[in-house]
Amino acid sequence: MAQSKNFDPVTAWQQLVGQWERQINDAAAGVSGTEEFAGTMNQAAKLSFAARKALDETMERMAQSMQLATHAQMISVIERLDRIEEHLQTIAAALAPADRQAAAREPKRTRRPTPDGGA
Amino acid sequence: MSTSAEALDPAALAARVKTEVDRAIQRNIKGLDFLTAPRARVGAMPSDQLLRRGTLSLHRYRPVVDEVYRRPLLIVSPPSNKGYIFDLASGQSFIEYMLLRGYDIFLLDWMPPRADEAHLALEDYLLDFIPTCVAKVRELSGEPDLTLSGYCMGGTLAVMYAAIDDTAAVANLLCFTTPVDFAPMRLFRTWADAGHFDVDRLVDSLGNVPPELVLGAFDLMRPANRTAGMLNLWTNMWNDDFVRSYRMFDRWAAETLPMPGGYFRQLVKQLLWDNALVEDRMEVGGRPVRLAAVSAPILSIVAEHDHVVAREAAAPLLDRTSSTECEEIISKGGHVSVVAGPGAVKRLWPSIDAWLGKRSL
Repeated sequence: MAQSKNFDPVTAWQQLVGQWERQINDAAAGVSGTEEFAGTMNQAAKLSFAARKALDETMERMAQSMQLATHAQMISVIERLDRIEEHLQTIAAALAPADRQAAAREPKRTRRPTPDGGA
Repeated sequence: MSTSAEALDPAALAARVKTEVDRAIQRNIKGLDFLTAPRARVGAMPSDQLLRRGTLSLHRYRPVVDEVYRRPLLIVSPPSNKGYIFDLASGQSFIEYMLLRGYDIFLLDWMPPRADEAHLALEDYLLDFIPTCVAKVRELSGEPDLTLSGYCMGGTLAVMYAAIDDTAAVANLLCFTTPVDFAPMRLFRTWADAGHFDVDRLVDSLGNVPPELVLGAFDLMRPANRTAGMLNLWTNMWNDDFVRSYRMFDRWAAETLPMPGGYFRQLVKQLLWDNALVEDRMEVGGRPVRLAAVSAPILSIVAEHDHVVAREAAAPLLDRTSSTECEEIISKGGHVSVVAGPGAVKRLWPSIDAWLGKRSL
């Protein structure tokens, strides 16, 4: 009876979801932990990667025939920009050494914990 | 015991109905906001990038107190995840918590590896990246030693580095859900079984291992989590704090990083297949990596409901090293809740501060 007084539909719903989640996860773990499942999954992954590779190659050929940049070329440009950014950061650091700036505001390294163990 | 009349108190029932109707309206309004909102903002504390070299990115968080502990704290993020999980938002940021308690904090974070970094391997992490960052921390702090910390595989890298460190730089090890014994990770071992998982072919054809593979494995471990998460999100859509927190965690999970193929190949072969670290067969760059060579004090934090790294996977940290000061904290919650979330602020992080404070002098 006390339960019915405190009945909260939202809490009950959340408990139901939690219970469903646990049950599904437990059941799935029983299946996915088997050698058979792992073998099938890896076979499917192999096929999926092969299909993706084939699709990438087809798209690349299409992009080339339409005189558009391919995905690989775009990635290459992004990575080159990334390297340029890296070099710029190195140059900026050399021009205004962060070390010196940091040293100027270095805190004292003398802190000790409070008697209860914390800071 | 209550009566049925109390249970059906019209005033209470009306108030309850009103609340639920309000929330239903809020859900619809905020649900639309959620669908159209830009990426969640993450990061509570200001930091400076000290080093950037390919996938390596070293940051120092700006101290927020005038007096810090002598020993700096260097945190190693797992190579498959962004390090902002340590600093999601004010009020649930490990970095913020520790800065306020006087720690000088450095974070070794990772950028997505480029195609030309697919060859990166444990040798690069343990003999180049981590030593480079340790040297930088020593140089900047002027201190000879530090506390090395890591989360998940970042912790494994930290432990392995401590085992081969010949500079005596590692004064303490703070390990968050750190696997060293891979035998208890049964699902991962079954899925990556050498009988049907051709890691060489995968790495040779892909270069860097795409994040979808890692995310797919985590989803497969707990297939109902995503749906249950969405249902819980909808139930709590009226609650701004819940939604904000959900979006930040969701962004972090979605931004799982690709892994360098060379590193992934070694993880599978040496750790999952051979369990070489705990079996004393691990070698990196021709150097033996032995748990017994780790002598620094260790605090190992594991989570009660961690479905990724079980307590047994981290257990050898307590009894297979040479450290005479090993402690374990079993935290409530799951794999991520030890490094982020409001729960850790109240329970776990004060214990970490109490343990580390007296070892940071």
